[in-house]
Amino acid sequence: MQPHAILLAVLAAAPMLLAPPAADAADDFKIALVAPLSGRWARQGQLKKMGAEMAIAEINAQGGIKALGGARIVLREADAGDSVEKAVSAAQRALSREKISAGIGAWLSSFTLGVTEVAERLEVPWFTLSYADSITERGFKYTFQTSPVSSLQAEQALDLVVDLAKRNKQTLRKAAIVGDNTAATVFFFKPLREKLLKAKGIEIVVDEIWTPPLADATAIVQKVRSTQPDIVFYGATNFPDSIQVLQKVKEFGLNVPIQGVGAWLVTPEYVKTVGKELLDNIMTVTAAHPLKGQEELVKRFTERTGEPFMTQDPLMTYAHVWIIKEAAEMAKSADPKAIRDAVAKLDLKSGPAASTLAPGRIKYDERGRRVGAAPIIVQWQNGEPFTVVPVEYATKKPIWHGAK
Amino acid sequence: MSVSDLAQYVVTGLLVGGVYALMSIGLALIFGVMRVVNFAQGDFMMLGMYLTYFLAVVSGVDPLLGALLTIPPFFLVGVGVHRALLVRVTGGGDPQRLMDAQLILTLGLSLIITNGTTMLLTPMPRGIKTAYATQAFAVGPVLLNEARSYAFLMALVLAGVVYVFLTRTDLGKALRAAADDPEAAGY
Repeated sequence: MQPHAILLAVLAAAPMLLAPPAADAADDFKIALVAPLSGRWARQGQLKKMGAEMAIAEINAQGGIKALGGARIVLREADAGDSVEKAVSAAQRALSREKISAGIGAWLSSFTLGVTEVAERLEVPWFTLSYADSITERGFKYTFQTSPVSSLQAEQALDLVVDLAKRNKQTLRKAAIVGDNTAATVFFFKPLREKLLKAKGIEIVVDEIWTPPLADATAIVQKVRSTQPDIVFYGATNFPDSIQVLQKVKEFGLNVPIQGVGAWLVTPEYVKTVGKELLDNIMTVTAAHPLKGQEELVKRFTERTGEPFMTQDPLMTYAHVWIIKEAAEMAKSADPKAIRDAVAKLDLKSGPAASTLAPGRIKYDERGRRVGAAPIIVQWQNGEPFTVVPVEYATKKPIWHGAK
Repeated sequence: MSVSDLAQYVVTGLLVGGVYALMSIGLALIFGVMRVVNFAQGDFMMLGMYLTYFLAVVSGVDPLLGALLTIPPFFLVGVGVHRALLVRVTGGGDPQRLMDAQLILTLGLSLIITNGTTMLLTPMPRGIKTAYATQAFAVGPVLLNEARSYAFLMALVLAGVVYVFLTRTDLGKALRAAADDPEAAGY
């Protein structure tokens, strides 16, 4: 090994060695949050943290976990950074440094696939909002996937756009697939490519995939421009990549409906960067978004954080903390294995966790998938994202602009 | 692929190359000419971008002008960093040891700047909405993004200025000579 290489290795390891183990009361109930807090996905991690902190503040204000003598919940956050390796080592550090009762994370499906392996090995129940089907296809006992999986989201999203177009007397004939190769996007595009689009008689005219970071979007958007699809299925997963594509769409004057997958497409920054007009063409399918009747929850969140609106990431993480709290009350223990067994038996139909997520029930099946988890379709309307599908929870009606 | 598509890709590639060239001119000076290993180059650039951003958001200064306005304050920052830190790890001695010291120093600076900025300003992405970021000059069927075109032109001008400075002026020649042989320059 060259002296330089050794030096680099030592420097890279230094921050881990320097981080002090946090000193808190031994009977605090500790939840780990592994999420990207730096790098391209950091905004999503920051939003998750806001949701977790809000739930923890509420629970502690109400007297903590009663079955554990009023134990306070504390959050141990670890930065998943911008690669699977960093996410895995963050999880390893967080879970081996002290006793953690349950964990949440790590937003990007590719990160979650790695992080849940660590949690499974260390036998800590792990809650995720990630979409990729493969997360719960490995027979893991400690992974709980609260979102509807990518393939289900693809079906739902396609049904919506076909139906919307039909009601507006248009037929979708040509589709573009544009996105990165992270796990959730891969599992969203796969069924579209292999069967769903063909079944609806829609031809794929553009199929452009990249590995993040995206250096330049010109070639991709140029292809979309020259083939003129009726709909673009879009999966960029992070703001910096996504904004490059959307700025090009604007530059090339494209006017085409965009159906995305994920809550990265509904953060407030888009309004400032590409403007309301372009956003009116965008819908996205997510696992959670404020539903009809959740105005009070959203108000608490916006007042607390200064964010203009609430989206999937804080909602889900808020719900996850409450689910862990309910499981701890049921298990009467802070032991991760006992919590895991309680989560497997849990069937919540009321309370903050159940009322946050459609269809109002928290129960996980034997694979760890949430029973009845329904994809939510969100549409930008005049600079704000609204739930438009399913109709019983919608806060606005969907609008079809169509390709022009 | 049609001819116009191909032309578009070539032009876009050149424009992106211009942006990269603009970013690397500073690196060419500090590493290529002065032989200082600078791991914090990108971090200083990030700070410059933030200053441009805040000038635009707070005072409404157009980012193209704002970029120029960041030069004087960052010149002072550069002098400060050099006088306080870099001077201890440059200018004569065992080149291998000096490089190690520079690497540790600038990597440390880079970590401090990156994490300090994340703590102070949060990881929230920030952008400025300008007309030229999403507009393009049309040359036949080929579109040239306006912002990238300006960056490309600026890169050309700056590269020319730096070249003339280093090869034609006494100060530039002295700079190269001192970097080539710091010991001789000390006499």
